[in-house]
Amino acid sequence: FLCLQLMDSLPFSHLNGDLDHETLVSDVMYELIDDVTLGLCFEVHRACKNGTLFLGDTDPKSQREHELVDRAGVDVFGHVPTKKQFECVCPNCQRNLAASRFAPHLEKCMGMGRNSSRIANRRQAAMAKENESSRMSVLGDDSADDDNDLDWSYHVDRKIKKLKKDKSTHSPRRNKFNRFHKNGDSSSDRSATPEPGLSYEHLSQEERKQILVNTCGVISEHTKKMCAKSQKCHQHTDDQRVKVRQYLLGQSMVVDEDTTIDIDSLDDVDSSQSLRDNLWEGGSNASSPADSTSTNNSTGSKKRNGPKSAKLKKKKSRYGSDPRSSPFDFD
Amino acid sequence: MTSCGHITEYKSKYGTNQFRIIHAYFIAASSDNARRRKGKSGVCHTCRFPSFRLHACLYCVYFGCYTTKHIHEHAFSKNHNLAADMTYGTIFCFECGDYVYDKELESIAQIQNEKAAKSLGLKSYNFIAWEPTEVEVEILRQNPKRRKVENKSTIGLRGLINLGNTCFMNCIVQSLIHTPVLRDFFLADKHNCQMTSVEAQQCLVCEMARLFQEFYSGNRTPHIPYRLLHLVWTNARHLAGYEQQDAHEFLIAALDVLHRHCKGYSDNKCLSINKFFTGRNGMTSGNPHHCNCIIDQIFTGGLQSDVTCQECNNVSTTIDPIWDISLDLGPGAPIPNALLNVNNSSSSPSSGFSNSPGTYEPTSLLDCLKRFTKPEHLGSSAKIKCSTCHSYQESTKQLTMKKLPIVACFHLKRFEHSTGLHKKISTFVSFPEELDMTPFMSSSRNNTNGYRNQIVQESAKGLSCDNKYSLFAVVNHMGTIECGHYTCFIRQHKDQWFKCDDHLITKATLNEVLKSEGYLLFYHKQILEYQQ
Repeated sequence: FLCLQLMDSLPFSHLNGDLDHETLVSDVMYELIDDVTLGLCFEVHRACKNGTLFLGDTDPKSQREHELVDRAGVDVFGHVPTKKQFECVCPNCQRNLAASRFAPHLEKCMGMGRNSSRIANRRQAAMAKENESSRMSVLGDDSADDDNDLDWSYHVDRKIKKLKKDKSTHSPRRNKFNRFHKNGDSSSDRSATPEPGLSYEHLSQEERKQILVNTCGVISEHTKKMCAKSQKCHQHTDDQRVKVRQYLLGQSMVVDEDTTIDIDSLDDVDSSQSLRDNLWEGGSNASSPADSTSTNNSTGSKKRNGPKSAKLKKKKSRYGSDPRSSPFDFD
Repeated sequence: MTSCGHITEYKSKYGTNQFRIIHAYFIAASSDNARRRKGKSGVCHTCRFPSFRLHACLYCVYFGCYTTKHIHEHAFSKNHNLAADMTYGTIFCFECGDYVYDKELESIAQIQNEKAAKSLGLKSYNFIAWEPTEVEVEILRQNPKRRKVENKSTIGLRGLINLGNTCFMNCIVQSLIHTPVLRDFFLADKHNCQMTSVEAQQCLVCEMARLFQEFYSGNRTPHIPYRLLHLVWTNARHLAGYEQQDAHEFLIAALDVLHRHCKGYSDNKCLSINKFFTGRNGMTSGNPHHCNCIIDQIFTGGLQSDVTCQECNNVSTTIDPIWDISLDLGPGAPIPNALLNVNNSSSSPSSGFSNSPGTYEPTSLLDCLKRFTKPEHLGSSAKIKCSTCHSYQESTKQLTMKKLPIVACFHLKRFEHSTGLHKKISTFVSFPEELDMTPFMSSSRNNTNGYRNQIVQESAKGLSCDNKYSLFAVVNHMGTIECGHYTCFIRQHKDQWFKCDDHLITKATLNEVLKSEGYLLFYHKQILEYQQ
């Protein structure tokens, strides 16, 4: 309490008959400061005596464990951002699935969203026709829509919707595809619940080409199979279709890391280019008008998040070293 | 408690009454009468000086100064070895040579302190800092592991996995998790779920509580908020399915569900406490859903709308509860000359829009707020029937804040759909770290003719007042109206900012935050009053 002894030497000038206004005010202020300081000293002294002064402090081990990291290239936990896949269980259907696909799955699972009623209707129709053609139901579109694991792309979904009217499971393309599939594919792909994709690894270049002519072909990261839907399939973007053709047919090509690949700006090897042109008549890449069922600004604007703007979020790795990334569905 | 043997001896001999009286009259001074006595007799009996650190002898009637050792002399000569400091009541034991703390005497002192505070009209007596009991101290000693939210610690920070374009949800979750009062509510386990066990699975507030536990668990891997998404979509069907994924809309929907669930699942009606919302003319805005749940306590503010009849100057007032303030961006309408305050012609350009007679575009939050609260001429096509003069007249309407919420959320309307124009307004709008809402309050409204004196925004670092706010979270949108990504900045402690990009949490600077585009801005009141 030595500091307090020093403070006590300040004059109580008003007792000396000095009634100057300013001195009175400063006297009062100093008294208040003294009182508050004394209170603080007592607090610390008491805590010390009671043994509670450091009781709440973090122990050194925990301090080290939860130390905040502030370095470039890592997050606050010191982790390098990786593409680690997380899983979760759907509370609705108890199915295990990748966390990054949970939302689109849940939308369908709960029967909400624009597609769900269409899917449900189609399922009904397909079931009714099941007896007619068993071949159709095996690789029918409805199961592909229904099953959660195919990638989902809202943004392109709307765009394609405008271009295409009706998607019939009886289209000639599908027939062609079915025939082909039966020929080339091993039955190991066929499980009790029909897998909607095509396994491609064992196929020859020629066979792959054939598939790419007839179908979308985008490889699902989840199932590692090629998409068996038409080339105008809703669930994949034109971008992805281009890339899968690059990947499967132009193996020596290297993709620039950071740029989003634009169909129009590809400057690739000529042979692959023409090959790709033959395999796929891509649609335009123009962005779609924003969905606007919104009414008024005051109730909050309606806007969408399309697929994450790849430019801003993810680096596309060189597909040579990481074949999993480019042509596949990504998060 | 570390008492000393001497106090125990004293108590057995003299009891505690003497101490109680001394404390009541000369230390705490718990009544008017006592205050007078203390003022008059609070001097050293030896030197007659009202010195600093006077002590009262516990054995007899003697007050003496400490620094000039008068109390020491008294103690030695009379063998009165206990004296109490007269500012705080702390007891000094001359035999031990130190201040000592006796539990029983302290509780007596506490009663007197409460009485004193009450008699002065202070509410602080209700709020005493927590102290561990002896048992608790022992437990704490035996278990030294601690998890605290402090500088240089990651406790309280955690990434959130993107479930498929759910970055809008992640940003709102981060903002709520780091809302100080809300955090305190949940970490203090204040939610008592009213739902039946069947419904409790659907309680969003319980899920929120679990979320807080996850965030403060010390777990360093990102959290997967799939249950939260499921619950929100279950309870707010209009949100589900990717049709409208605006962070602002999600915030409002989430607050709404939380608010409903606070009072029980099936019971959507809340008690109406309308005391706050009485207009000047005695009109009340009856909102049957205004209740006292934590969401309302934190987020609900009152927006006052005054419509002034141009004919008879009668003002009709309504007050609506709001959870956020949506601010228009983009060019505003030209202001008719009649409404310009003449005095403003000479004011500095920084006072904002009132100077410019033509169209203008707000470039700061303050500009937006000024525009929001300026009187608006409703025009001849929108005549309103005045209740006083009973005729259809033109009128002016003005919005001001009647009651400020503890957390104010500002929504910059960057996504414009009204004119058939679907684009994002990406103009930079600056926002301050500290905000003074005084000029936008109803109380600042000049009542004489419905026009308001534009108060130039003083520096918020000036006087302390009830209307000062601090920024603590910013939600940003990057991209276009069709395709984009949300990230947010949140503040932990006074000066630490972090950027939350789904599962990636990194340290950020205040400068980065203030330079960001800004879509949702969360401000927290700086000073919280004790409530009745």
